[in-house]
Amino acid sequence: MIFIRRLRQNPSRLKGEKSTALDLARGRLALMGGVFILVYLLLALRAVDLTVVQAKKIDPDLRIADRTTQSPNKPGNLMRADIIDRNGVMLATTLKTASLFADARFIAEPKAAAAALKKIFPDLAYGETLQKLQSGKSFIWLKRNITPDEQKRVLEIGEPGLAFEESTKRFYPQEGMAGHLLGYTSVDNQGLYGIERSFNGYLSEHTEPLRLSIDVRLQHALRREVAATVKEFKAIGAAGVIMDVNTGEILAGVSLPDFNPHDFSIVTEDQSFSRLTQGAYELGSVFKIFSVAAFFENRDLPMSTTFDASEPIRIGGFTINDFHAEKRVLTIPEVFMHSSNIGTAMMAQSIGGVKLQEFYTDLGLLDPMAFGVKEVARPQVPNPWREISTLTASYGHGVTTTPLQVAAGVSTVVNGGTLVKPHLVLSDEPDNTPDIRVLSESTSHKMRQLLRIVVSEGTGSKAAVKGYNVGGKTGTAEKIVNGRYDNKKKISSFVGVFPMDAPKYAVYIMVDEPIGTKRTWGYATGGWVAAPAVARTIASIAAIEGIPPQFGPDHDLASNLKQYIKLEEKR
Amino acid sequence: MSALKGIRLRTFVIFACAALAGTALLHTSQRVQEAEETLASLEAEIAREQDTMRVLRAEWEYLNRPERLERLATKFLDLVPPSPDTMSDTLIDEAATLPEKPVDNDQAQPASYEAEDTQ
Repeated sequence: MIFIRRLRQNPSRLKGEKSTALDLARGRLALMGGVFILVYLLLALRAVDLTVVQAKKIDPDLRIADRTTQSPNKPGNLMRADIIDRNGVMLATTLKTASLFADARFIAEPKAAAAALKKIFPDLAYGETLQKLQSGKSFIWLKRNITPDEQKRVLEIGEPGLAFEESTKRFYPQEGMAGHLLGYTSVDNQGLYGIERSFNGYLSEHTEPLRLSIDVRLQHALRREVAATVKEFKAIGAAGVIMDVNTGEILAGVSLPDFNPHDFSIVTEDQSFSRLTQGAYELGSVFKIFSVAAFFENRDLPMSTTFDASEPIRIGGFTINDFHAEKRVLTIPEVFMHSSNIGTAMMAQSIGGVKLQEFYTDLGLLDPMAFGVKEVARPQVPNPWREISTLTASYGHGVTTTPLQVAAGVSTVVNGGTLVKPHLVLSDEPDNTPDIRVLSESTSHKMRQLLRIVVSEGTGSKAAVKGYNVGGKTGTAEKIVNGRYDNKKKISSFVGVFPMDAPKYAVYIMVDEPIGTKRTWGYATGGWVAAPAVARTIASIAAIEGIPPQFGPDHDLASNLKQYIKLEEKR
Repeated sequence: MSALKGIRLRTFVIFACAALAGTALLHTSQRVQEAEETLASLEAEIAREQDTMRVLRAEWEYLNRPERLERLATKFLDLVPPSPDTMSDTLIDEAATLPEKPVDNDQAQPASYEAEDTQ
């Protein structure tokens, strides 16, 4: 012990031993006592400080908030990531909502509480609520997903047995505008459709928003025009897409009828079916774009090459006729602008079914398209592929594919010939995959000329927009009802591309079972139904993107094709 | 007090230091606790503010959806979307004939008829 050691070290202090030791002990006691008094005084001061002085500083809101269950952003409890459009406009977000429950053991005045709740939530029945509050159970749901204002009013009742549980709810500010691409989630925030489904893993594990290629302004313009067309022609549905022909970015995509993602429980099968990606249709003459491109790729022949379309083709009890019959010998531009089935079938025949099928496949028309959502259809080809299949496929009959794939195929054809892979999600990383060439630059140029002349002189004249060099192709196909073509039920479509001298946008609109009107002289063909909608959409794109119009013949790509065309007197 | 004689100065100093250190420790730990409370309350406040911002942003986006803006613009404004004609006749000509816009000290804005996106 220190004391003993000290004693040994200091023999001189041993004088008067006893009294010194007593004094020493007393002194130490006093010191210890002093220290303790000091410490307790400090504690007492601190207690006063905490309870009296600082008590006012604590935020009263916080004390209330502490009582409700907080769910901070713990890992595994992340808010599902937002989805935004290409400009950062919010397409989907997650909001916290409170759900009201009762702990009936702590309900002080059930009748007063039930009456007060009835006042806040008129849809709650008084009797039922009272029964719940008197049940004595420790947990009963009263009302799910209430607003912050309602929550405040419930708190003001001051009933200790009423409590809230925080949960999250997916919210779509743009509502159903891009519903089929965006999709929706279940009540427990699992993606059930569209991007919400295919990117469920990313969205539930990240906080960074997922950026889509969609532009809400274009999406709205497209949806407006497609909806107007459906209404005007009393169609049962329609699909539309705007695509960047160089990158394959889907700028807008719509399928009607569509649905409100907030209310997916009442969505019908017809509403949830995406005509854009899940519907594989015989799309008719728009396929002539691909057939004529295949012809140029395989046969090095000039535009002046002629085909005799004066007589229908008869093969195996089947007759191929022209809808806009010219009944004469046609050059390639004439075949294309008058949409001659006979001429296109002859072109397909001259290159053969194998080459034609290969070309369609290279364009991605015959395989299910992987582009970001899982709801896609499998295109159908005739099996077995007979000679007649080659002829009918050339003008889009017997082969089915989705509207989205047609838009992608057309993009590939007009952009200089490199394969376009449609996609919906924008990536920050530059795309380093090498370009895949499907057709030559010169074929692509010829096709741009041909598409332009369809609008400037041919069946697609209603798609023209002054100053914007629109090119395109009509398509009208009859639907198969009970195994035979029904000429009353049509799939009418138009694909437009602009500006034709350096294409940037492809717009494809397909209308399902339109009915001709007085204004269209009863016609319900692609040129009458879909082409005007495409024209209006293109005018909107130009206005939204601020693309200045260009006038004058210098910009008309197709002017040097006119030498191959016998122009009608009336034009 | 004579009783204190027995305690050497060194011991006294050691006790004093211990008491001082104890006091300092108590004080510091109180300060830390206090700071932690402030931190927690600030964090809770930030979380609340962020939640509010999410709600407000969602509401903003909902009110700014193109469909609604178009409806309101048609009802209340005398403006129509530019057509190829108006774009060529007014905007482009105007851009050429209008006097130059005085340069703002803060930022010079390029003449553009394209609506700027709010991020």
